[in-house]
Amino acid sequence: MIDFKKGEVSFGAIVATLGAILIALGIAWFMALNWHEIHSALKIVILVFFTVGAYFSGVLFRINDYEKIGGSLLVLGALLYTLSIFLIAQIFSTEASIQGIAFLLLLAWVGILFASYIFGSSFSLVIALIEFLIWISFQFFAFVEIFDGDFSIGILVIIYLLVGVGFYGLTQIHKSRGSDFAQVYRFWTAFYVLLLTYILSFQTFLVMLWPAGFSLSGGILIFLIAMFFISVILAIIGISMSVNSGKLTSNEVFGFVGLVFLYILLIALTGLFSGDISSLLGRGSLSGGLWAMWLFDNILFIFVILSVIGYGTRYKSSKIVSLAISFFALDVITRYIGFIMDFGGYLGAAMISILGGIILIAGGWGLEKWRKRLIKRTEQKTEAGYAVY
Amino acid sequence: MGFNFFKSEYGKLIIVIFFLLIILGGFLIYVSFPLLGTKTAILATMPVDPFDPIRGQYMIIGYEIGTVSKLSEVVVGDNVYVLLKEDSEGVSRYQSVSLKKPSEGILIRGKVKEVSGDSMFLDYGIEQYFFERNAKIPTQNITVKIKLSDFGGARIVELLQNGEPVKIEYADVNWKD
Repeated sequence: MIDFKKGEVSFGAIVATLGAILIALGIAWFMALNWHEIHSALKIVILVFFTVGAYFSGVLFRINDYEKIGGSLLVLGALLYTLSIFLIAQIFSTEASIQGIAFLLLLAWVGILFASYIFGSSFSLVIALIEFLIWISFQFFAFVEIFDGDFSIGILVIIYLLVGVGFYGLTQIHKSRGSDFAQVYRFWTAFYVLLLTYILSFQTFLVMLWPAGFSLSGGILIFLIAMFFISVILAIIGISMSVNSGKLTSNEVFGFVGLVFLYILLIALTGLFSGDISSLLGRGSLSGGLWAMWLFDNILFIFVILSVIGYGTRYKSSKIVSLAISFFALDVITRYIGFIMDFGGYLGAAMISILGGIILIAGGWGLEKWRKRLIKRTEQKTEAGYAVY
Repeated sequence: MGFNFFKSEYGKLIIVIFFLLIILGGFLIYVSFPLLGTKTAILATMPVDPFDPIRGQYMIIGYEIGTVSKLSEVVVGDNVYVLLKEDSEGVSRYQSVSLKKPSEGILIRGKVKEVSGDSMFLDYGIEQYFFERNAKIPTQNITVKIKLSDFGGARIVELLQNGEPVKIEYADVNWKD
């Protein structure tokens, strides 16, 4: 007999979560189909009923010790709650602009985040953070649209960097309190760091980071300042709490702070090539500085991927390792396409493959050495009665 | 130590449901607020765009009052108030625009989307109309009946064709589609 009891079967939880997503999709499809015969008020009642029902059954399963199945139903509740917001917006024909969608997503992730903390549900938190990622990206584009601002990828990269810093702080806060949410925030910190490094690895984006004549509109500036303070405060609190509880080494803190400053420096340096879009036109017309920066960013990307793999190994998180490997695969595919487009042949792709291979073998050797050292240290500390974080 | 209901799973459930219903209810009140207003206006439309299924099935509606004379010192993102005047056919047309809310008259609040030359382009939040799939909606001679709050907020009540409510025809749903 399959036992879905607490902490025992993750396969069952995955299947149940897939089931929850399927149910939410099915209901979404029903919404998109011919619902004109049902009164709008009744449609809202139906969705609210299903939302409450999903949360209620989730709680019932949890009470009966079916923690993971209960978590999947909480995910269903979160998705149905999101659908309810979009349905109400649809019924009242609210703005279909980017800001309109961003506003709906804001309502959605705030509600789900609240529910996640009350229930202590990591499943639900993942949904909240996925919606947060979509919201923050939409909000950026909405600001561009609303304030008629120039489109700057630089601002988007800064937003992702600030979110990464904030999430790192949240990771440390939860880690110091022994909360399971630390793992979720750790994963998302890694995700944002990889995402912004990936964006910086594009030649095209480097010259578009700060377009010529770019000016920051008041709305985006206020948004950035607010985000900066929230992120930095979270990071400071988190790092202090974690260091004080002996769960964070100074090496990791210096590493993280160093990486953040490196990103700030890189983002600022791209200002040297501001609006140099003409350099992208035609083969071989790139300036030496831009070439050097692009090369450096790509080496940095590989370095960050390897660091994230190391980070995942250190915290025994297969999800973080898989995430880093996914970004590596994405990098290989992107560079492969990029080299073929830029050089019209396979020479560049062959060169980068060989170069990448050498870096990876060296990196693998370093990682293996590091892993062995880490295992040795873990064994020593375990013998001495310490916990390793 | 005594039993704390709000720390139990059912207690948590009640807190979460209460919080989510507050958000949903607040949102519902926010979006339906103009419908509680007493003022109604019928707006003339510019040619209606075809369907744009980004957020479900909906059509984009351009309004005659979407383009008005530019105000000095107005910037993109500003809220402006458009005073409307009903013509002999019962259609509310543009009369004047100001940055300050007029004390009386039929007014609608718009947001400056773009400024070009002597004109400014406004959004009223009613530029889209959602409907279910398989709907056949006429797009000729369309006017839009709206409700207005005292603050100028607007919501669509219904679409009119030649002054009469549009009858939306739905094709039979083919469940295999």
